[in-house]
Amino acid sequence: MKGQRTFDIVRVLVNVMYYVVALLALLVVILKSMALVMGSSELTDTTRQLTVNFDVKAFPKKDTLPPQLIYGSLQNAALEKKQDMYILRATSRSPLGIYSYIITLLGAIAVVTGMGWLRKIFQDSSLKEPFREINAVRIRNIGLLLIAADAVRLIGYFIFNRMTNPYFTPYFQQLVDVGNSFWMGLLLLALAVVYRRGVEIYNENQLTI
Amino acid sequence: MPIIVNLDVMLAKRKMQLTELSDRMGITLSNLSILKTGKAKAIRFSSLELICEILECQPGDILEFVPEKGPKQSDGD
Repeated sequence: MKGQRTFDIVRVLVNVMYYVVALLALLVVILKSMALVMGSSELTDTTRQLTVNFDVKAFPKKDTLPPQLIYGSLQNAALEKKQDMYILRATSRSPLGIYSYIITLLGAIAVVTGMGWLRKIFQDSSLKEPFREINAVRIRNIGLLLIAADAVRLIGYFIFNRMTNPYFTPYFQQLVDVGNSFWMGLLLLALAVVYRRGVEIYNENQLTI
Repeated sequence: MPIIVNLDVMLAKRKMQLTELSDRMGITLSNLSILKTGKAKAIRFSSLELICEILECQPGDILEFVPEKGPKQSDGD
Protein backbone atom coordinates (compact mmCIF):
# COMPACT_ATOMS: atom_id res chain seq x y z
CA MET A 1 0.00 0.00 0.00
CA LYS A 2 1.25 3.50 -0.88
CA GLY A 3 2.73 5.33 2.10
CA GLN A 4 3.06 2.15 4.18
CA ARG A 5 6.84 2.53 4.47
CA THR A 6 6.60 6.17 5.60
CA PHE A 7 3.91 5.19 8.10
CA ASP A 8 6.06 2.36 9.50
CA ILE A 9 9.11 4.66 9.80
CA VAL A 10 7.09 7.35 11.61
CA ARG A 11 5.60 4.70 13.91
CA VAL A 12 9.09 3.45 14.88
CA LEU A 13 10.37 7.04 15.34
CA VAL A 14 7.44 7.94 17.59
CA ASN A 15 8.00 4.76 19.59
CA VAL A 16 11.70 5.55 20.06
CA MET A 17 10.94 9.20 20.86
CA TYR A 18 8.43 8.13 23.50
CA TYR A 19 11.02 6.06 25.37
CA VAL A 20 13.72 8.76 25.03
CA VAL A 21 11.36 11.48 26.29
CA ALA A 22 10.06 9.26 29.13
CA LEU A 23 13.63 8.48 30.20
CA LEU A 24 14.70 12.14 30.05
CA ALA A 25 11.61 13.24 31.97
CA LEU A 26 12.30 10.64 34.63
CA LEU A 27 15.94 11.74 34.91
CA VAL A 28 14.99 15.41 35.20
CA VAL A 29 12.39 14.66 37.88
CA ILE A 30 14.87 12.51 39.83
CA LEU A 31 17.59 15.21 39.65
CA LYS A 32 15.16 17.95 40.65
CA SER A 33 13.84 15.83 43.53
CA MET A 34 17.40 15.16 44.73
CA ALA A 35 18.20 18.87 44.52
CA LEU A 36 15.06 19.65 46.47
CA VAL A 37 15.85 17.15 49.22
CA MET A 38 19.60 17.63 49.49
CA GLY A 39 20.05 21.20 48.28
CA SER A 40 20.86 24.16 50.48
CA SER A 41 18.28 26.77 51.39
CA GLU A 42 20.82 29.60 51.30
CA LEU A 43 22.40 31.05 48.20
CA THR A 44 26.14 31.11 48.76
CA ASP A 45 28.39 30.40 45.79
CA THR A 46 26.38 30.53 42.55
CA THR A 47 29.27 29.26 40.46
CA ARG A 48 29.30 25.90 42.26
CA GLN A 49 25.92 25.73 43.91
CA LEU A 50 23.09 23.88 42.12
CA THR A 51 20.38 26.47 41.58
CA VAL A 52 17.15 26.87 39.64
CA ASN A 53 17.47 29.51 36.95
CA PHE A 54 14.87 31.77 35.35
CA ASP A 55 15.42 34.08 32.38
CA VAL A 56 14.02 37.49 33.24
CA LYS A 57 13.91 40.91 31.64
CA ALA A 58 14.10 44.02 33.78
CA PHE A 59 12.18 47.20 33.09
CA PRO A 60 14.19 50.05 34.64
CA LYS A 61 12.61 53.47 35.03
CA LYS A 62 15.66 55.32 33.71
CA ASP A 63 16.10 55.95 29.99
CA THR A 64 17.50 52.98 28.16
CA LEU A 65 20.93 53.22 26.60
CA PRO A 66 21.33 53.16 22.81
CA PRO A 67 21.83 49.61 21.51
CA GLN A 68 25.41 48.37 21.58
CA LEU A 69 26.30 46.84 18.25
CA ILE A 70 29.26 44.52 17.70
CA TYR A 71 30.34 44.43 14.07
CA GLY A 72 32.10 41.48 12.52
CA SER A 73 33.55 41.12 9.04
CA LEU A 74 30.10 41.08 7.49
CA GLN A 75 28.86 44.46 6.30
CA ASN A 76 25.19 43.66 6.57
CA ALA A 77 25.00 41.97 9.98
CA ALA A 78 25.90 42.88 13.57
CA LEU A 79 25.43 41.55 17.08
CA GLU A 80 23.29 43.61 19.41
CA LYS A 81 23.91 43.25 23.11
CA LYS A 82 20.63 42.77 24.91
CA GLN A 83 20.10 45.12 27.77
CA ASP A 84 18.43 44.43 31.07
CA MET A 85 18.43 40.68 30.62
CA TYR A 86 19.15 38.67 33.75
CA ILE A 87 19.13 35.15 35.06
CA LEU A 88 17.39 34.90 38.39
CA ARG A 89 19.07 32.19 40.42
CA ALA A 90 17.44 30.66 43.46
CA THR A 91 18.20 27.68 45.67
CA SER A 92 16.28 24.47 45.16
CA ARG A 93 14.72 24.63 48.62
CA SER A 94 13.46 28.19 48.29
CA PRO A 95 9.84 28.98 47.35
CA LEU A 96 11.07 29.66 43.79
CA GLY A 97 12.81 26.28 43.79
CA ILE A 98 9.62 24.53 44.87
CA TYR A 99 7.70 26.48 42.23
CA SER A 100 10.24 25.34 39.62
CA TYR A 101 9.94 21.75 40.87
CA ILE A 102 6.16 21.76 40.54
CA ILE A 103 6.35 23.26 37.02
CA THR A 104 8.95 20.65 36.01
CA LEU A 105 6.86 17.83 37.47
CA LEU A 106 3.73 19.01 35.63
CA GLY A 107 5.71 19.45 32.40
CA ALA A 108 7.22 15.97 32.66
CA ILE A 109 3.81 14.37 33.28
CA ALA A 110 2.26 16.33 30.38
CA VAL A 111 5.04 15.48 27.92
CA VAL A 112 5.06 11.76 28.76
CA THR A 113 1.25 11.58 28.67
CA GLY A 114 1.06 13.42 25.31
CA MET A 115 3.79 11.29 23.78
CA GLY A 116 2.03 8.19 25.14
CA TRP A 117 -1.20 9.16 23.38
CA LEU A 118 0.70 9.86 20.16
CA ARG A 119 2.38 6.46 20.43
CA LYS A 120 -0.98 4.75 21.01
CA ILE A 121 -2.43 6.49 17.94
CA PHE A 122 0.30 5.00 15.76
CA GLN A 123 0.07 1.61 17.48
CA ASP A 124 -3.68 1.31 16.93
CA SER A 125 -3.73 2.69 13.38
CA SER A 126 -2.91 1.10 10.08
CA LEU A 127 -3.27 2.35 6.53
CA LYS A 128 -5.78 -0.44 5.92
CA GLU A 129 -7.95 0.69 8.81
CA PRO A 130 -6.96 4.30 9.57
CA PHE A 131 -10.15 5.53 11.22
CA ARG A 132 -10.82 4.54 14.81
CA GLU A 133 -13.06 6.27 17.32
CA ILE A 134 -10.49 6.00 20.14
CA ASN A 135 -7.91 7.88 18.06
CA ALA A 136 -10.29 10.83 17.62
CA VAL A 137 -10.49 11.00 21.43
CA ARG A 138 -6.69 10.82 21.69
CA ILE A 139 -6.14 13.61 19.14
CA ARG A 140 -8.65 15.76 21.04
CA ASN A 141 -6.90 14.98 24.32
CA ILE A 142 -3.49 15.98 22.93
CA GLY A 143 -5.05 19.25 21.72
CA LEU A 144 -6.54 19.92 25.15
CA LEU A 145 -3.21 19.04 26.78
CA LEU A 146 -1.38 21.59 24.62
CA ILE A 147 -3.91 24.30 25.46
CA ALA A 148 -3.68 23.39 29.16
CA ALA A 149 0.13 23.55 28.95
CA ASP A 150 -0.03 27.14 27.74
CA ALA A 151 -2.61 28.00 30.39
CA VAL A 152 -0.34 26.57 33.12
CA ARG A 153 2.62 28.50 31.66
CA LEU A 154 0.59 31.72 31.77
CA ILE A 155 -0.60 31.11 35.33
CA GLY A 156 3.00 30.27 36.29
CA TYR A 157 4.14 33.56 34.78
CA PHE A 158 1.79 35.53 37.04
CA ILE A 159 2.68 33.44 40.10
CA PHE A 160 6.40 33.95 39.42
CA ASN A 161 5.99 37.71 39.07
CA ARG A 162 4.00 37.90 42.29
CA MET A 163 6.61 35.82 44.09
CA THR A 164 9.58 37.90 42.99
CA ASN A 165 8.60 41.48 42.29
CA PRO A 166 8.16 42.73 45.86
CA TYR A 167 11.78 41.78 46.62
CA PHE A 168 13.74 43.12 43.65
CA THR A 169 14.54 46.44 42.05
CA PRO A 170 14.38 47.04 39.09
CA TYR A 171 11.03 45.57 38.26
CA PHE A 172 11.33 42.52 35.99
CA GLN A 173 9.24 39.84 34.36
CA GLN A 174 9.89 36.22 33.51
CA LEU A 175 10.54 35.48 29.84
CA VAL A 176 8.05 32.81 28.81
CA ASP A 177 7.03 31.47 25.43
CA VAL A 178 3.24 31.45 25.53
CA GLY A 179 0.93 31.01 22.53
CA ASN A 180 2.56 28.42 20.28
CA SER A 181 1.11 25.34 21.93
CA PHE A 182 -2.26 27.10 22.26
CA TRP A 183 -2.52 27.41 18.47
CA MET A 184 -1.25 23.86 18.00
CA GLY A 185 -3.88 22.69 20.46
CA LEU A 186 -6.64 24.51 18.60
CA LEU A 187 -5.44 22.99 15.33
CA LEU A 188 -5.51 19.52 16.86
CA LEU A 189 -9.02 20.09 18.23
CA ALA A 190 -10.17 21.01 14.70
CA LEU A 191 -8.37 17.96 13.30
CA ALA A 192 -10.05 15.76 15.92
CA VAL A 193 -13.48 16.96 14.73
CA VAL A 194 -12.56 16.25 11.09
CA TYR A 195 -11.11 12.85 12.07
CA ARG A 196 -14.28 11.97 13.99
CA ARG A 197 -16.32 12.75 10.86
CA GLY A 198 -13.93 10.46 8.97
CA VAL A 199 -14.66 7.70 11.49
CA GLU A 200 -18.42 8.16 10.94
CA ILE A 201 -18.04 8.02 7.15
CA TYR A 202 -15.77 4.98 7.42
CA ASN A 203 -18.29 3.17 9.67
CA GLU A 204 -21.11 4.01 7.26
CA ASN A 205 -19.01 2.71 4.38
CA GLN A 206 -18.44 -0.53 6.29
CA LEU A 207 -22.22 -0.91 6.59
CA THR A 208 -22.83 -0.26 2.90
CA ILE A 209 -23.46 -3.48 1.01
CA MET B 1 -35.17 3.05 10.11
CA PRO B 2 -38.48 2.72 8.24
CA ILE B 3 -36.89 0.76 5.36
CA ILE B 4 -37.39 -2.97 5.92
CA VAL B 5 -35.20 -5.49 4.12
CA ASN B 6 -37.19 -8.56 3.08
CA LEU B 7 -34.23 -10.55 1.85
CA ASP B 8 -35.01 -13.51 4.11
CA VAL B 9 -38.59 -13.64 2.71
CA MET B 10 -37.34 -13.68 -0.87
CA LEU B 11 -34.71 -16.30 -0.03
CA ALA B 12 -37.41 -18.49 1.49
CA LYS B 13 -39.61 -18.01 -1.57
CA ARG B 14 -36.74 -19.03 -3.86
CA LYS B 15 -35.68 -21.80 -1.44
CA MET B 16 -32.15 -20.47 -1.43
CA GLN B 17 -29.62 -20.30 1.40
CA LEU B 18 -27.81 -17.07 2.28
CA THR B 19 -24.46 -18.79 1.66
CA GLU B 20 -25.51 -19.69 -1.90
CA LEU B 21 -26.57 -16.12 -2.58
CA SER B 22 -23.30 -14.88 -1.13
CA ASP B 23 -21.31 -17.26 -3.34
CA ARG B 24 -23.20 -16.27 -6.47
CA MET B 25 -22.96 -12.55 -5.70
CA GLY B 26 -19.30 -12.62 -4.71
CA ILE B 27 -20.07 -10.78 -1.46
CA THR B 28 -18.95 -12.05 1.94
CA LEU B 29 -21.53 -13.81 4.08
CA SER B 30 -21.00 -11.34 6.92
CA ASN B 31 -21.82 -8.40 4.66
CA LEU B 32 -24.94 -10.14 3.40
CA SER B 33 -25.95 -10.92 6.98
CA ILE B 34 -25.65 -7.20 7.80
CA LEU B 35 -28.13 -6.53 4.99
CA LYS B 36 -30.47 -9.34 6.00
CA THR B 37 -30.62 -8.29 9.65
CA GLY B 38 -31.36 -4.68 8.72
CA LYS B 39 -28.11 -3.29 10.14
CA ALA B 40 -26.93 -1.95 6.78
CA LYS B 41 -26.81 1.83 6.35
CA ALA B 42 -26.96 1.76 2.54
CA ILE B 43 -27.05 -0.57 -0.43
CA ARG B 44 -25.23 -0.05 -3.72
CA PHE B 45 -27.22 -0.19 -6.95
CA SER B 46 -24.76 -2.83 -8.20
CA SER B 47 -25.48 -5.06 -5.17
CA LEU B 48 -29.23 -4.56 -5.54
CA GLU B 49 -28.98 -5.39 -9.23
CA LEU B 50 -27.15 -8.65 -8.45
CA ILE B 51 -29.68 -9.66 -5.77
CA CYS B 52 -32.60 -8.94 -8.12
CA GLU B 53 -30.92 -10.83 -10.94
CA ILE B 54 -30.17 -13.92 -8.84
CA LEU B 55 -33.48 -13.99 -6.96
CA GLU B 56 -35.43 -12.96 -10.11
CA CYS B 57 -37.34 -10.22 -8.36
CA GLN B 58 -37.79 -6.45 -8.27
CA PRO B 59 -36.09 -4.02 -5.84
CA GLY B 60 -39.50 -3.50 -4.24
CA ASP B 61 -39.62 -7.17 -3.31
CA ILE B 62 -36.42 -6.75 -1.29
CA LEU B 63 -36.95 -3.30 0.20
CA GLU B 64 -40.14 -2.06 1.83
CA PHE B 65 -41.02 1.31 3.33
CA VAL B 66 -42.96 1.12 6.61
CA PRO B 67 -43.69 4.54 8.19
CA GLU B 68 -42.75 4.85 11.83
CA LYS B 69 -45.66 5.37 14.25
CA GLY B 70 -43.99 7.49 16.94
CA PRO B 71 -42.37 10.93 16.55
CA LYS B 72 -39.59 10.97 13.96
CA GLN B 73 -36.19 10.25 15.48
CA SER B 74 -32.91 11.30 13.98
CA ASP B 75 -30.15 8.65 13.95
CA GLY B 76 -27.43 11.28 13.77
CA ASP B 77 -27.16 11.50 9.95
